[in-house]
Amino acid sequence: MTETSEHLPPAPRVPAGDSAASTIGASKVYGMGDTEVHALRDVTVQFETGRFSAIMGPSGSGKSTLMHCMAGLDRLTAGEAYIGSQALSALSDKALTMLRREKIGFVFQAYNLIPTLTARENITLPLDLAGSKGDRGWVDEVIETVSLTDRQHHRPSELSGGQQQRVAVARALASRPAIIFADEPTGNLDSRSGAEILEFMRRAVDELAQTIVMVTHDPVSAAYSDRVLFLNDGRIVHEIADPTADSVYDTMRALGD
Amino acid sequence: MFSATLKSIRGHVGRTVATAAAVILGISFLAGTLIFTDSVQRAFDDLFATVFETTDAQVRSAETIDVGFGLEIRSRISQSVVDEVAAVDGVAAVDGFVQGTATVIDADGEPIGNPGQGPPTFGFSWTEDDELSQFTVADGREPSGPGEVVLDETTAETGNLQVGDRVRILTSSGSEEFDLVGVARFGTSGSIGGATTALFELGEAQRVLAAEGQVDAIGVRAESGLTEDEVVARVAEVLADDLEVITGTEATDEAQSAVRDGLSFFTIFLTAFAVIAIFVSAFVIANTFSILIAQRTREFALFRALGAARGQILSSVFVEAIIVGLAGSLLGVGLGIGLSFGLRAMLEGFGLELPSGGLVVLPRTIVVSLVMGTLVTVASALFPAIRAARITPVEALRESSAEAWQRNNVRFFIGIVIVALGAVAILFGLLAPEIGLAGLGAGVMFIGVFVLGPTIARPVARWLGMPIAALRGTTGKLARENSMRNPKRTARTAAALTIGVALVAGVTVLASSLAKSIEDTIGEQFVGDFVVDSGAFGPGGGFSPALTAALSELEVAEVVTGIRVGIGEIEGDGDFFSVLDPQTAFEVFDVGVIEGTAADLTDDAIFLFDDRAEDLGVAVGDSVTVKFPDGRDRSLTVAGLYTEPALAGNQAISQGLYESTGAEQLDLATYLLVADGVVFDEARAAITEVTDQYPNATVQDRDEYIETQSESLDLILNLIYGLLGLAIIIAAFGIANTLRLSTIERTREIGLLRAVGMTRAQVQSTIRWEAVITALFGAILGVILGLFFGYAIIFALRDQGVSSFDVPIAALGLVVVLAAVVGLVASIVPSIRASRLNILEAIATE
Ligand SMILES: Nc1ncnc2c1ncn2[C@@H]1O[C@H](COP(=O)(O)OP(=O)(O)OP(=O)(O)O)[C@@H](O)[C@H]1O
Ligand SMILES: [Mg+2]
Repeated sequence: MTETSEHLPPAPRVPAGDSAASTIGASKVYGMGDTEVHALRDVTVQFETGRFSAIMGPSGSGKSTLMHCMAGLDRLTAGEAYIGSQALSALSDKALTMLRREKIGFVFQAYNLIPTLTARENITLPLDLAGSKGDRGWVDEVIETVSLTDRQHHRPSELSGGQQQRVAVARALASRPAIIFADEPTGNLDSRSGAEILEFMRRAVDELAQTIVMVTHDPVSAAYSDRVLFLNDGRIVHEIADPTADSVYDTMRALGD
Repeated sequence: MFSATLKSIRGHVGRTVATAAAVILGISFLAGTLIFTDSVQRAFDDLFATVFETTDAQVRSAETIDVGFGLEIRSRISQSVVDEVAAVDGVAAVDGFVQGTATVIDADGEPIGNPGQGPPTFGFSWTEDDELSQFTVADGREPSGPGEVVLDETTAETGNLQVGDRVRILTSSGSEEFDLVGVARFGTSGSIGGATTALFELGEAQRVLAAEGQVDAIGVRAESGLTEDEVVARVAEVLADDLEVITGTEATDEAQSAVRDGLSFFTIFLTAFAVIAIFVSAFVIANTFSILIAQRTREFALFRALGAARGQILSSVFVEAIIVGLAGSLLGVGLGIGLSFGLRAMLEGFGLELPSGGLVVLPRTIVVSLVMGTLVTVASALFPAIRAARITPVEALRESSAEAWQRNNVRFFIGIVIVALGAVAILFGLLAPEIGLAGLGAGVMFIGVFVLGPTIARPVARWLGMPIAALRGTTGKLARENSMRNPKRTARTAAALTIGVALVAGVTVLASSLAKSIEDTIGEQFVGDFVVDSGAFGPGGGFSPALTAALSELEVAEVVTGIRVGIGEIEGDGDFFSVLDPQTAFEVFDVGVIEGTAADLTDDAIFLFDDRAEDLGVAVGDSVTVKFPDGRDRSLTVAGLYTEPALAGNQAISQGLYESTGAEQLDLATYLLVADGVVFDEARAAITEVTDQYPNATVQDRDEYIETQSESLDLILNLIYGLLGLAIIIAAFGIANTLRLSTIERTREIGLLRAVGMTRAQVQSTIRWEAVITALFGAILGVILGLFFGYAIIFALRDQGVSSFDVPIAALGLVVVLAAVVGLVASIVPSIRASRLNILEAIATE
């Protein structure tokens, strides 16, 4: 499987209407001269609203970089990233912050929570930072969904790793963002806790029409998604739709050769 | 290990500089004080060396009265001695010199110099012999007869007075206008250390300074070829027993050491503040080292795992402390040079003109600064270093390197015990009185608070943060949680500020209580209606009794009485005497006379404060031996006792008696009781008309007088606030340091907050409010300690007529608010730094 780009849709000139996030010709270069690293090379990709996408690829292939740039945490060297139809390069730090607060949810692999805040306070953090009361009913529902109702007034140090990641997912959902980026959300969890998190994300997409982009190394996790993108050396090299653990595994094997 | 230390210092230049900042500031005050006082001393030494260069001998009375504070009064001698000395073989020239008090009125009709708290206002005779003369004419000519005066250059300039002007001068003999015939310089200086000097021809000086037929001293110039000792020996032969002669060199030494004595009070005063600054620095250094070592736990654990011995860890921390201490102290000396100019400017702002000369940085200054700075830094690093050495290799594997905190009742108990010990030491120290012990007690109390603080910081920070969390939402809440998460750190950071605030609050409480006491005392003991006040507090200021006499003529006044302060020895003890007019004084003052009546205070009688009488072991009817500046022993009968010393002092005598001693007679203030039926405005107008000739006399009604008297402490209070400012600045550096280190520790957290939508402004606000909570914690402890200090001092002074303990709520509230502002300012740099953090790097941090 070395034939790469013909599996991809033709590059759109502007993001399509139902795109939650997209990039056009995204490149990211770290360092200069000898130490130059091309983390992303001319990546054009689109994540449609209401879908659960997974990004896979070997270590150092640029998965995190792609996410960070799409989420407004980092800036591209060339090309453009969009949230909805909003081009990110045009935004100031302040505007990007507002965008992250209102439109984007995050789940990181670890250290997702503020240790001094309770689970509930962590969940409502983006809302609180915006100074909005938020929708209490919705927050309760989210907490209920991730089965944290009886632990919501505990601090992170009093929660298990799985519970902590559930809090992180709940936080990402609480502000009803346009898109959630999850970078190896289950990477630090045992398979049972990991499965729980993935279930929640799946339900968020199915029942709440949430859009989620998740980076993972695990074919079983990837199988929860609607679509898997494969990255290698800063390029999208393959894509499969409606993956199963086996099809993902096979693709990985094939790409690895 | 040593090279690892160096690398560690080099690798963390920022934090090393931050630690050193506390050392630099603390030491700069010490170095600045030493440099400043040495420079002033050197300048005065040089000044007097030139001034007495041509004086070979000085003749004067052997009788002196010493009342302490460097105030020594010498008797005058008869002018006939001048001729006797002149006749001595080998004497080339003599000069009879007269000295007194003279207030010069400037071109705008205002008195020059503040007699209450400024440098002295002198009236001198002009020395005819050019070589003996300490002054040299810079413009015009010397004074040569009645009605003529020469002023020192600085006074002429400040007063906007030119040669040829008419100038009004107030002396004990009255208010007169003179022709300004010349302007003179004192050696190389424009004035005698900022004093105003009016110079008259000798006969005129004797008239205006009430020294008819007398001189204060005689300057002697020997014929060439004769040594000082030889001429002194020859002059000594003709002198009576009550006279003495000293060499010019001795006169120089005396003048120099008089300045040294005067300065030494000042040096001690400034050094006390330097010690406070260094003490505060020590707290900041200790705290910074603690945090650094907590943050480097893994690093140390790794060293231990790689085989480093405890001793090696310990010495590596000490080496770091020594390097920081040495470098910091050296820079502190540099900053001290700048600060010495600041101190000079500040004192000149308070009206003290100092002769200028070169900057004197003695080797002693550098050695003391380096040793102090290094010792303090190493001592402050002691406990943190021991903690570092206790780190086990396993700790390399621990998750969090931050200091863990658990409730610690033992610590609480130990803290309370130390605070109590300090409090006891303060009380004993104040009552003894043993100021050193009291100061030590204060230091111990601060250490106790340092120990105790961590056990109470969490609940207090929670409570303080409540309104902030309520008002500022998430940022406020995060600020509160951050200030609570590491109570040890919060408490130690706040401790430095606690010291500054405690001292400011203590001084504020003390000043307010003293002001209240003054108000109460005058309110109770003064029953008159008006006061004509000179603003002076003691000898060397005031106005001529002629003014009081003129006021007595007024029809609107029923009672008029002037009050003077005299100097004398009672049973060998130098002290101040209240000098009263017995016929009128007791009609406007109620000092609680319990024995004797006004009529009993005759010219050979004395009234005593009853405690003083007890100390002296005398009762009414006994006699005491008193000596005034004329040098004669007098036996006075104790004719009365009184219970209120606040206004009347330890002893009171009649004006008639004091006038008979030949001492300078100046009324500090004159008190009036208005006649029945006279409208106050009318009385004031009549009084003002009389005082017009005396620009140094202000007319005040009773309320105004009480108010100005209670405000008299403001100046010194402001000076103390200014000097304590540095301690507060150091504490601010401490807060900034802690915030910086804490935010570095929380890099990942801040990155996460930024990722989920916290703006830079919100990051800053979070850190800002954390700083405010920390500062408020320190300030509140400080105010509590300050209240105790203030109360303890007032309690110790209760027998000295200080009766009221006043808690100035508004002023203390302001202190707390200002402390919060200090926290805000301290947070500026660390908060901006934290808000600029690169989010990705923060998230990516291992
Ligand atoms: N801040 C940075 N400076 C320099 N190079 C970087 C930086 N961040 C990432 N890189 C490089 O960019 C490339 C892509 O990194 P990225 O973190 O996106 O990989 P990844 O696919 O997320 O890998 P992993 O699966 O290990 O998380 C790598 O070669 C990495 O070394
Ligand atoms: Mg990654």
